[in-house]
Amino acid sequence: MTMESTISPAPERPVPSGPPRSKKSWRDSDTAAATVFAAPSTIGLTVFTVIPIVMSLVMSFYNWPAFGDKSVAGTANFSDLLSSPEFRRVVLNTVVFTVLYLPLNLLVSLGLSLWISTMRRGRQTLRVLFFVPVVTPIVANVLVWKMIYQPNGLIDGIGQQFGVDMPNFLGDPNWAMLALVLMSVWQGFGYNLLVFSAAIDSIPQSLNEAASLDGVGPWQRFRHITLPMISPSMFFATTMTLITTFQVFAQPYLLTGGGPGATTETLVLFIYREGFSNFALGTAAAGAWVLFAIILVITALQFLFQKKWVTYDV
Amino acid sequence: MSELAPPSPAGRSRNTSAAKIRHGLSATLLWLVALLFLTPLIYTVATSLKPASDVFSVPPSLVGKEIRWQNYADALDYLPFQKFILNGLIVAVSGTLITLAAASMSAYAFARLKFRGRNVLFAAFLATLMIPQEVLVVPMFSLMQEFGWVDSYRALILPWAFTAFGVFLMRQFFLTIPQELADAAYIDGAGKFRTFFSIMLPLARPSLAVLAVFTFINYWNSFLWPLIITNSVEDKGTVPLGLSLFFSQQGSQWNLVMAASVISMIPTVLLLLLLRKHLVSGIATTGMGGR
Amino acid sequence: MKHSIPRSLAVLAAAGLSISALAACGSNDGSGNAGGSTDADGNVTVDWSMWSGGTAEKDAWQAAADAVHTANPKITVKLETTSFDDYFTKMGTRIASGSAPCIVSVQSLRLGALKDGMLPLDDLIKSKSLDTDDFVPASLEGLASDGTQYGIPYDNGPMLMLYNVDRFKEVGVDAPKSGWTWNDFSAATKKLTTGGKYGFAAYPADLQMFPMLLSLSGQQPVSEDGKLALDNADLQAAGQQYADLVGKDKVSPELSGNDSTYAYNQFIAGNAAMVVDGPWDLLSIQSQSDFQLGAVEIPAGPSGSKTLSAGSGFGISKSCKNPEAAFEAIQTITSTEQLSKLASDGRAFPSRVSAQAPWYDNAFDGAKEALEAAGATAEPMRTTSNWTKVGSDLIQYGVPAMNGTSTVKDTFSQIQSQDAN
Repeated sequence: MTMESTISPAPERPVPSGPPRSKKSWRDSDTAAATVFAAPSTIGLTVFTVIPIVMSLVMSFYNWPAFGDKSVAGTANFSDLLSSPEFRRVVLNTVVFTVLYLPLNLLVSLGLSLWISTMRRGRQTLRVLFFVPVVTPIVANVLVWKMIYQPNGLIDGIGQQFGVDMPNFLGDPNWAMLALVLMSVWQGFGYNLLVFSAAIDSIPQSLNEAASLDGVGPWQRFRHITLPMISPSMFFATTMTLITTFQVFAQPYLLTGGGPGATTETLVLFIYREGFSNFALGTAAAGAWVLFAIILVITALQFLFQKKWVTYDV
Repeated sequence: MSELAPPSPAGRSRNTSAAKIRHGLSATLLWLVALLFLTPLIYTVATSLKPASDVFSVPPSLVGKEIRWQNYADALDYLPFQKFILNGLIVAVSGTLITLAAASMSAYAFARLKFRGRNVLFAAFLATLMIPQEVLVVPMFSLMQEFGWVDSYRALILPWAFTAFGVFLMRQFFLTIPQELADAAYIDGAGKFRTFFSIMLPLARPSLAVLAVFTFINYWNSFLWPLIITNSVEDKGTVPLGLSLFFSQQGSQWNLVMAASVISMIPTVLLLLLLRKHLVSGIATTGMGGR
Repeated sequence: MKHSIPRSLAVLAAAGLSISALAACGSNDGSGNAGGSTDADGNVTVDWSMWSGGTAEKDAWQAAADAVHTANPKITVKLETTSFDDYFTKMGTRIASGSAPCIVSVQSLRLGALKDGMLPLDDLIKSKSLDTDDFVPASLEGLASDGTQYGIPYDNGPMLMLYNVDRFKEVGVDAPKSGWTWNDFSAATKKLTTGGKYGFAAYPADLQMFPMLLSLSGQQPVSEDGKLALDNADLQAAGQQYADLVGKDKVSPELSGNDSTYAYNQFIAGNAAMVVDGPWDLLSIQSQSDFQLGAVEIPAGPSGSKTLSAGSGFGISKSCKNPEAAFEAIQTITSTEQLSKLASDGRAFPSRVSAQAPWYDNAFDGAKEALEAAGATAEPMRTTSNWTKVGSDLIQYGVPAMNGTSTVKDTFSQIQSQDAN
């Protein structure tokens, strides 16, 4: 912290002597300061992210068994993966999960944040309530959902009271994915709820008020005032949720174990198993790179199309 | 704070009794939705107070034959949860502090300092956002061995303390600060570092609070990495690992697991309640959030 | 604004301190040093990794570790514990990366997955003259592969049928007796399935399912030459019969997700009257359940009652720098004295005949007879080197087969084609 006094530009320099000169010296001193400011993160990210990424790239071109000799595999890991029905199934599952999860998450979080914003009291309390499952350990969340979903569990037990035959959510191939998605939405949408709530709070009340006085209905107000105003947040939420959704791991790992059958086995679960239970580190790394490529393409598309619907200046 | 805000203008403009009733209904319904939403957590607490034989009773009930507070004592007795909580706090607090420091400093550089290669470097930072932790885990494990860090607090903390997410979030905040403020400070004779510490950081407190909450939660709830890097769970284990310890050969004891779950939820829920005011306003000032 | 400068500085200072503290504590704990260490005086520290399900269990193992130091003050055993499921994930990774602990605990079914990283013990057994005659032969066999001994067992036992004596009485069904057949079993399960309760709790986990399949078909899932044999038609037919208990006959509760403790929980909660389990769980189930526990051998199929046995023990990793000290430690931990202590705690059914008496003293009436009857016909369960994957696939794909939404033939064939190598 002593750096502050030693490195900072000498205060005695005649600063207010003219805009052009001041601008120049401002810029000159930037590089030194920027080096110090950016160094911790840059070094940290290099050591703990870039180097492992390079290592994983190298691994993906090797037969890299846990025991025994490594050998160069070339692109065999990739071609094996892409031609394996198991891997295609896993990619499909991940896409299905995303296609179900993302709209549901956005719909619930947007709907509830709008609803909460109409409340006169308790808004902050409600938002915090819906945020709670985000902060409770996922292990704990999954455990209780297991008890809720299983036969004789909470849902089934309530159904029995009313003589309704409930499906075996985690054991039935037709239901497991849906059960996984619902649990994940429950646990995850609090983030986006807060993001949207913050955006809605920042909309000037006068806008809605004026429109309301002009006789504009709620839907029209939402469509023409709220939606454009929160579109940057929606873009952010969509992008981030999409990225994290493709990486879904803990829920299938803990709740369904990828089953029944292969119905809920996701890409990262597959990668984890190839790496840590089959010890095929090369295959795992290759699978990871396929995942990365998919995320990259989708994010790029997102950024490409954002101009069409995101309003940055209202 | 917004709880104290005046009633919404829509309500004020036509303050008829019909609107009042409608609003009352809507509020009641919303609170019911919130209650339904919280059912799993309520069920967790309820199960944590049941005797073992009532956990899978048919039909299910919220309350067992008795309210068994003893489950909490048993859970703590069964495993050293105090130790897990202490470990979790050590890891999460120091990880959060490092993240805050590193992220805010480099975010400031990206937002407010001009230097060669800034955009390229920032793009590289952003690109790392797309790498899932699970993808890095295998090579990261080998790296930790190279460093001799396996089964240490460092290995639990440092690999995830330098996140592009934090940089991204803080940069977004610094961009919203008018350049004139920094210029004024400069004209007053403050250097880059003084400007950062005396003007930028204090202004950034809401954003720092948001980042702190997210970082703390991520560390506290992290499961996969501690699972892989910790050898002596009862010595270095964090709370999620402690929970998974219940699933041992002995068969899982759901009432105790739920008691442990409740214990594991307390710190983050407390943190959430403490910082709840900053949460929404912090996200509002950064114009983003989420993870 | 001025007075907030110290605070932001304080945060950064704290962060800096954390980093330096972390760096400092790193330099001297030597945690990355695999396999233990030796100091100048010849004192040896041996690390030992073990699974455990709680403080009481850990304390029992810690007492065994302390006993090593008492027996030979030059050896200190450093115990690390983790949960059973996590243990094998972790140990595989650690062996793979050369950072395994000196003493590796291993279950007989998982030996194949770990043995490439483990030291053959035959020479040490000879040079340290370990008395192998006291061990149950099947227990040693379970931790050997191709005639090479990789581990010294601490427990071992045949899989048994546990039953809820009170429930049998309540429904008025005679308690199962030694020599009972699959027909007796079927009849009992049907009568016991009343009022929302079930006769049996089935689950496609290896040790729960295959003893029943062996009794029905005489087939193990792995052939004698170590190849996966899930495509065997007899085994598949037996598997279907087992699955039908859930999907068709509905005498066993429908299965949920990948919860390997599901069947036990149903049994402990009193929702199912019978379950297949090993002797290592008997005393803990006895203490968790509030009914009278009974045990009997697996019901006999066409060629008599058969069952599988399994057990666990300790081996030494190849990366261990002090295999001799590690072996000495294992000798103490698996001595009659230590195993007797574990037995009286109800931690394990001892692999040493001389240590079994204290276990029997704690168990319910009939446990001894059932164990001896089952032990007489038990064969060690054979596994493949990728058994971790096969085992988890069996659960993942087996659940729909059990629930009746797919067939056992398809499921077994698919796992066979995925996992046979």
